[in-house]
Amino acid sequence: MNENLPLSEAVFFILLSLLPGPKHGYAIMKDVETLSEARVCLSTGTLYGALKRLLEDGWIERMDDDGEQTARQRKAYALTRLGKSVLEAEATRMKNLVALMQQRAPEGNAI
Amino acid sequence: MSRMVERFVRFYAFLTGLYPHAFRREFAGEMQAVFRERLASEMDTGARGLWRVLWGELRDWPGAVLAEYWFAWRDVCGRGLMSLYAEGKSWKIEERREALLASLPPVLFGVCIALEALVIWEPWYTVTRWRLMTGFAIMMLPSPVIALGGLIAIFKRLPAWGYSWAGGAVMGVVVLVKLLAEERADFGLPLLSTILDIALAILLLVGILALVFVTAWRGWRQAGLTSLGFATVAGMSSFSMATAAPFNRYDLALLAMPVGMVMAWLTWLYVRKGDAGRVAAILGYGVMNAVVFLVIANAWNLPPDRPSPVIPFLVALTGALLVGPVAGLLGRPLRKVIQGA
Repeated sequence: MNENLPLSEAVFFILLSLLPGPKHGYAIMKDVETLSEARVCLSTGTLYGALKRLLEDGWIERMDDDGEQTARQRKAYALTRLGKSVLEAEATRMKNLVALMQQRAPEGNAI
Repeated sequence: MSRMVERFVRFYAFLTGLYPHAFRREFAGEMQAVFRERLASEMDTGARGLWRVLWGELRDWPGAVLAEYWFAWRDVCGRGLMSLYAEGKSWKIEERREALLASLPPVLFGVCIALEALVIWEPWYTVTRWRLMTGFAIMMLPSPVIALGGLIAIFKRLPAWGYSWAGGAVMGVVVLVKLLAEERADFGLPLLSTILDIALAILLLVGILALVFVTAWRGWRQAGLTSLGFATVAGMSSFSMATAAPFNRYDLALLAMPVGMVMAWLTWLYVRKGDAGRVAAILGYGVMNAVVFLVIANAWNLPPDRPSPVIPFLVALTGALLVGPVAGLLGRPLRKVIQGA
């Protein structure tokens, strides 16, 4: 699991966006923008390139979005168990880094 | 405003069409729909908002497309180099008549060069005018025939027999320009003018590369046959160097006939047998061209202080022979990525 870490910021935010439940492409894009406070603005090409890789790695899966039928068949993306584990591992990694910094910070300058 | 949205969506559809085939097939529809949604969400902000969305896409588009081509290329190559040989339809000429036609150029050259040698045989200033003219006419005969055959092959969109003819015709033009340029250079003159000579050289190079590209696109076997056409003319032209003054080695030029026959047999092997036969034919061509050129260069007896043309010529011959199959093999993963084969 750890060989996949650290995650790129875009991948981290995409996985984080899918944590509450499945979303389609546009919703992921908006959510990533909100979560990152507009720091990460994915273009459609970048988003789908990342989604393709995540699908191949088995971190996310694709499902038909039954809730909203449009002219195209809308696809939603959901986090798999493996994807969730990767996200948790990344969170643990970041937590450990913060803990290390807190240990080393001088008295009174705790982070 | 909605017309502007439609135009932007159409333009974005064009951009998504430039992704690799497999990626396009899987995601292009969704990407266009998401792009439309993004535009729709910016409708309230007016044209500026729409342009901002489009600019965001355009800015990332080259990197995203290149990344996808890179991943697609890596996927194909990751299957292993040997799969490049194993996959794809095997190509060969089933019809005997068509195979004979493909093998004809070296015979034509060989016979005509040998006949010219028999007709002239002695230094040009010692033979009668009619013998000289007859000899030259016979020697020159294959050039228009191959040029015509090559043109027909190109106009017919390169049928199976046409690869060797097209290769021979293109290389024939190169050799002809080289010979004329050398004659003019003896008098310290350019062929046309310095600028036009450079333009002509670039044009010839583009012609060769275009033919290699087109045939390599069809497959390494077809491109290899084009290369045999290149090598036939390049190799055979070395016989005309032996007969040129002051060497006048018409006895060596007689070798053109058996050499042409062997080249034709190798071409036959190439178009009728499997891949092992093709590799053997290419190797055979390479060895024979090298031996012929070494024999002829030896007959020139060049003074040791003059730079030897042997290495550059052998490199050019080998390059002409290998450019087709190598381009076909190297281009194969790229072709698969683009065609989604």
